[in-house]
Amino acid sequence: MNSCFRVKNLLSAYLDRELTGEEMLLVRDHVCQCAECSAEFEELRWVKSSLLTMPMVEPSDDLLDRVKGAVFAVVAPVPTAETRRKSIATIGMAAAMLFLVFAVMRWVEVQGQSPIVAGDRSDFAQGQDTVVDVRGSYSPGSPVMLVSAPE
Amino acid sequence: MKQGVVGVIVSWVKPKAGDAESRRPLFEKLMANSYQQAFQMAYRFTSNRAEAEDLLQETYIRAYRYFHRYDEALPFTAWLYRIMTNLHIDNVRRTSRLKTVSIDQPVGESSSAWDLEDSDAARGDQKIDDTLGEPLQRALQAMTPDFRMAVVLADVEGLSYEEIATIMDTSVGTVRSRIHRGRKQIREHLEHLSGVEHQGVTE
Ligand SMILES: [Zn+2]
Repeated sequence: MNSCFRVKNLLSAYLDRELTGEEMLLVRDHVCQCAECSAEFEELRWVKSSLLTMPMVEPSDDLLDRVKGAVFAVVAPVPTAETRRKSIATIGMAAAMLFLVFAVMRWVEVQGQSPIVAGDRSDFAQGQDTVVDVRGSYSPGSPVMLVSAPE
Repeated sequence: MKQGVVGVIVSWVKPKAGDAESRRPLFEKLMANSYQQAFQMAYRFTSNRAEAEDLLQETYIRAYRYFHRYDEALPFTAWLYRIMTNLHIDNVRRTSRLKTVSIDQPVGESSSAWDLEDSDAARGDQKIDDTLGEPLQRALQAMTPDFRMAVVLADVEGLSYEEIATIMDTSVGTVRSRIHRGRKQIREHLEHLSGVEHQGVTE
């Protein structure tokens, strides 16, 4: 029978209810009247149910701990090329900023004024963004631009 | 003042390192919830406890490394199995390349996209420590790896063809064909086994 070939190829999907309505009807009708395809269908069904009822394999008690150990020892999530580029940029910017700060200090010294000690400025200690506040030389706003975080 | 400047710089740079660390508790939780089921998969793929543990470990290591790419719209296990199937294929390919001896094991239709002898199947004497499901596990072991993974995902894990297609990065049509041919391989293998046993008894 010609349709046997077609039907046989659909038997697993029929078993898994993964056929379209039309295909499903075709297979169902055929299997009802064809002993050969019906037998094949039963065999496939037997394979599926045997796999489904295979006993669970118990993992050993310490498996999770061992795997955790390996995962967190081996990889502190490796920086991707992207994040690595970012951190290089960050370090670069930090260096540039330091340079600027010292340049400003130097300039201040040359002007004969003494820079402010950090301890004198409570707002600085509280984490305000202003890094350098040179009395009268800079408006408090401008240094902030230097230290505003990237991204 | 210098201290203050350094402090600002450090606090500005530091949160980058902290990002990765903050993912760890979530990952640990997902791991604890998934590892038993994932171990079943790994065992059905490899047929061997030690290899299953290795595969599981490799899978989680890779998953953690690329955890920032995990899309939470997808179930974590689906993403994990995707990594695991890729690793398993890589492992099978690697060991097959090392192995030059072929086996005479008939595996039914051998018309897969890439025909490789599964190295595990070649070692017929390999210990399978799960005695109850042993004939079936042997059948899995002898299968074409792509068929084996599709069948295991469908019949052990109970996933739909659509889900399996996502995991195996292929079409639903390919999944359908792999599952069908995979089940037929299992049936033929079991028939072959029982035939061999029968011969052994009568002779
Ligand atoms: Zn028929």
